[in-house]
Amino acid sequence: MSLPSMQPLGYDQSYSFHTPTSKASGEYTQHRFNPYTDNGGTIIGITGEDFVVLAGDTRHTSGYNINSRTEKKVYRLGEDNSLVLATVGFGADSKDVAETMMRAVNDFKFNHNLKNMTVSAAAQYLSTVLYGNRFFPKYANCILAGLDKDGKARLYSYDSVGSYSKEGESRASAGSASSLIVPFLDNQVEFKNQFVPSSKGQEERPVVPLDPVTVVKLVKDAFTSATERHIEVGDGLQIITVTKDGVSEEIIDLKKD
Amino acid sequence: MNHFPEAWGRPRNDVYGAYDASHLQSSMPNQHTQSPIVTGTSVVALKFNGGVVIAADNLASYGSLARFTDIERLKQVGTHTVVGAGGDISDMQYLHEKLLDPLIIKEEYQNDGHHLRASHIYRYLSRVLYQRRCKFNPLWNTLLVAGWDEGKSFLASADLLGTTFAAPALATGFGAHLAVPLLRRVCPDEAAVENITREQAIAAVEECMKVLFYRDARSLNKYSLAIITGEGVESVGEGAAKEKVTIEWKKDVELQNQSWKFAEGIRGYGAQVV
Repeated sequence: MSLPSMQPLGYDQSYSFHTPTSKASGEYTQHRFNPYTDNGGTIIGITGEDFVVLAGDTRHTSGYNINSRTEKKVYRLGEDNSLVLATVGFGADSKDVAETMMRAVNDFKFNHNLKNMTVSAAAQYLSTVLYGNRFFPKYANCILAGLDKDGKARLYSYDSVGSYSKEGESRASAGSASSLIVPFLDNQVEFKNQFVPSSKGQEERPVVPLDPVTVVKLVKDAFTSATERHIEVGDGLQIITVTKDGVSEEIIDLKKD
Repeated sequence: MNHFPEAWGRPRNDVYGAYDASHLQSSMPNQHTQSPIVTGTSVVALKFNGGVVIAADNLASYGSLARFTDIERLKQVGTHTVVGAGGDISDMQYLHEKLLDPLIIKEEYQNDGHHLRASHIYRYLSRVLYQRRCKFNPLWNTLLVAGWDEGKSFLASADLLGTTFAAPALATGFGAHLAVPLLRRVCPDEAAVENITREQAIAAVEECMKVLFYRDARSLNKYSLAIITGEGVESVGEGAAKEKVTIEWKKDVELQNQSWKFAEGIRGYGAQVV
C-alpha cells in the first residue's frame, strides 16, 4: 500500500543527494528508507609552524531550510590536550564520529596513566573508526589537528571511509563549499601559481610558513566568499586556534541570507 | 506413556492431529517501516525569558483522511520536559509507552532528589532515533524537546535520521516552512530570548498555529499548548536553593479570530465558474 507522504509536494530533504526512486523488479516502484542526508556547511584547517587553526560555519541545513544558525562543527577532544576535530556532511554521523573520538581520547587517558593520546595516534584511530564502518559508512568528512610532542602543528584530513595521509597536510577543506575554498587555499597557503615578480614567471614564489594573524585572515576571507556563493554556508563562523599556550575559540558573524 | 520427553505435556497427535507449527514462524520476512501510516503534522515551539512554549494540533491523519481528531501529540516527560512529536503516531506512542515512561519510573525510584532534565531526555531520544536509523528500522518521527535545564530554557529537535539541532525558535514538518520564518521575526537569535515575554511567545505560537491551519491541509483548528517556566538550577542537599519548574497546559484550544477573507480571491479551485 502506498500512502502519500506527510511532506508537502516537492519537499525533498536530501536535495543535494537526490537519488531517483528505482524500479524494483516487477511493476511496483519501491520506496526505501534513505538513512543519509546532507546538512551542509564547510570546514577549513590551516597549519602554521607551531599553531593550527580549524574553522567551520555554524549553519545547519536540510534542503533549502535553515535548521539552526548556531550549530558548531569544530570539537575539542578533551579539556587538557591540543586535539581538535572538525566534521561535516551528514549531521548525525558527524556528531557520532566526534563523540566516538572524544570518548576514545578520554578512555586512552585513563588507561595510560593520565598520558594524553598523541595527535598521530588520534589520527590513526579516527581512520580505523571510519574504516570500521566501511560497509555502512559514516557520511562525515573529518579534519583532525593538534600539536605533536615537539610542539609542531599537525593536520590530517579524511574521506568518509577513513583514507588519510600519515604525513599530514598544510591545509585542508571539506564540506559543501570545499570546491570553492580549496583553490583559494592552494594559492594563499601553498603559493600555487605565484611567481617571483622579477623572474617573469620563471621562478615560483618560495613557500614560507604563515603567522597566526594571516591564517585567521585567510579563514575569514574564505568563509565570507563561500557565504556569498554557496547557499548552505553562512550565519556564523567558529574559529579554533591551537597554540602551545592553549586552545582559543572565536565566533564571528557571517551573512545570514 | 510416550518415552520421548519432548512430546510430554503436548496434545496427543493421535487424538488432536499433528501440531500445526505454521503460526510459529511468519511466512514473510520481518518488515521495517518504509513510510509512516497514521501521521501528525507540525510541532511549533519558541523560547522566551524564563521558559518555552510549545504547541501541536490534535489531528492524526491517515494519508489525506483526518482519521483521529483527539490525539495528544505533546506529552510531559518527567518534571522538566515536554516532548512534541510529528510523523508516525504509533512510533510516538511506542517512544512514550515503551521507552520514556519506564525510564522516568526507573529514575524516580532512585529517590535521590535528581530528576531527568530536558537535555537528558533529549540526549536519550536522539540516541534512540540514531540507533534505530542505523538498524535501518527508523522511528518515523520528528521530535521537539522543550523544557527547563540548568537555569535556562531548553529547546531542541531530533528526527528519524538522528539529525539533531537546537535553536530558540523551532518547528517540524510543514511548520519548518511556514512557522519558522514567523517565529524568527519575533526571535532571530538566542540573545533575543531575554526580551521576549511569556505573553509575546504564546501570541507568536498561536499566530503560527493559525497560519498553519490556513495552509497545511493536514492540520486541525484544535490544538494543545504547553508553557514550561522555570527558576533557578537543580541543587540537592541541605539549604540548597530550590529549582522551580511549572508546566502549564492549555488543551483543546480552538483557533481564534480566523479570517477567511483571502479565500474569496482564490480562483481555479472549487465550484466557481470563472
